[in-house]
Amino acid sequence: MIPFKTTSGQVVKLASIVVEMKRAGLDDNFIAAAFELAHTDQGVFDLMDLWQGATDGSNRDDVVADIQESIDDYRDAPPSPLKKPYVNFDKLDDVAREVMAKKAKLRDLIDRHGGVSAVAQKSGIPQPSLSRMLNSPSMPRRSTLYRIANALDLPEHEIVTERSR
Amino acid sequence: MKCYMTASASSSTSPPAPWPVVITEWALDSYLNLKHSQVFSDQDYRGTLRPDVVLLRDGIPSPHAKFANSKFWGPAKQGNVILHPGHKMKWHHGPGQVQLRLPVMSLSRSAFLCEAYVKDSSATDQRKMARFKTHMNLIAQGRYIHRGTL
Repeated sequence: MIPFKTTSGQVVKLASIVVEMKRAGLDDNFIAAAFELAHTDQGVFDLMDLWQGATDGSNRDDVVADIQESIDDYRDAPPSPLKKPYVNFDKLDDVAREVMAKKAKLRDLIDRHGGVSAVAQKSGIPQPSLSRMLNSPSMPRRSTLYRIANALDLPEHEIVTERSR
Repeated sequence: MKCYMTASASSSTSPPAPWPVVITEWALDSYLNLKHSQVFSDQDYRGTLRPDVVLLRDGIPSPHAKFANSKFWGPAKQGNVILHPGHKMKWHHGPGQVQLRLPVMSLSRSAFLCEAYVKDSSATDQRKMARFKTHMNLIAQGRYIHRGTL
C-alpha cells in the first residue's frame, strides 16, 4: 500500500470543505478531527469530498456518520493486533437482541435528557452518528458511551454494557 | 547439498499452508447488522456465504474457478481506480435477493474480512469503499481487532 499524503490542491479543497461544514453547523471538534485525519487517510479525505458533493441531507448525514466512525476507528485502534473472543454465528441473534435491549434503555435515558438532538449537541457526537448507533445492533463503542455518560452526568454502570467494544 | 535437495523435494510435495482468513471486528459488526436486518438467513450463511469465504484459505489469487467470475470476485474499486490490495466478494441477487458485498484485504498471506454491506446505490458503494481504505490502512499498520479465524 502506498501511504497517502495530500497534495497542495487537496489541502485547499479540504479547507473549502471545512468552511462548508462549519456553515452547516457541524461541531468544531468533529471538523478539526476529520480535517487532520484527511491529510493522511485517503478514506477520510474521500468521505469529506463525498460530503461536499452530496446533494441531499440524508446522504450528507450518512457521510457524517461514516467520518465519525473513521475518527473513532483511529482513536480506538489498538497499537498492535488485538485478539478478542470469537462470536459464534449461532450466537449473533442473541448478541443483537442483547445489544438492542441495552440500546432501548439508553434511548429512554436520552429521551429523558431532551432527545437525540440535545444529547448530540451536549456530547459533541454528530447527530447522525448517535442515531445510527441507537438504531443498529452494532456493539457500541465504550468511548461513545463514555461521551454520553459524561454529557448526561451518568455513572458508568448505567450506560456501559458488557457488549461494548 | 544433499540436505538442500531433501528439503526442496519435501516442500514441493507438501500442500501450501492455508491462509488464515481473519474476521476483523468491522466484519463481525457488519454480520450483526446484516443478520439483524435479515439480509441473509442461517441457510444462506451456511449454504453459500461461509463456504465461499472459506475458499479464501487457498490464497489470493484463488485457484478456484469461481474466482475467475467477475460477478463473484474482483479487485475493490472506487470508480475506475483499483484499491490495491483490496478485493470484493460479491453475491448478486443471491441471498435475500440483494447485492451483498464483502471487502477483503490480502496482506502477508492472510485474508482480512472487512465491513460487509448491501450495495443499494452507488453512493453507498462509494462510502463503503472510502471506509474500506481506512480499514486497509489500519490493518497495514497492525491496528485492528481480531475476532476469529476461519
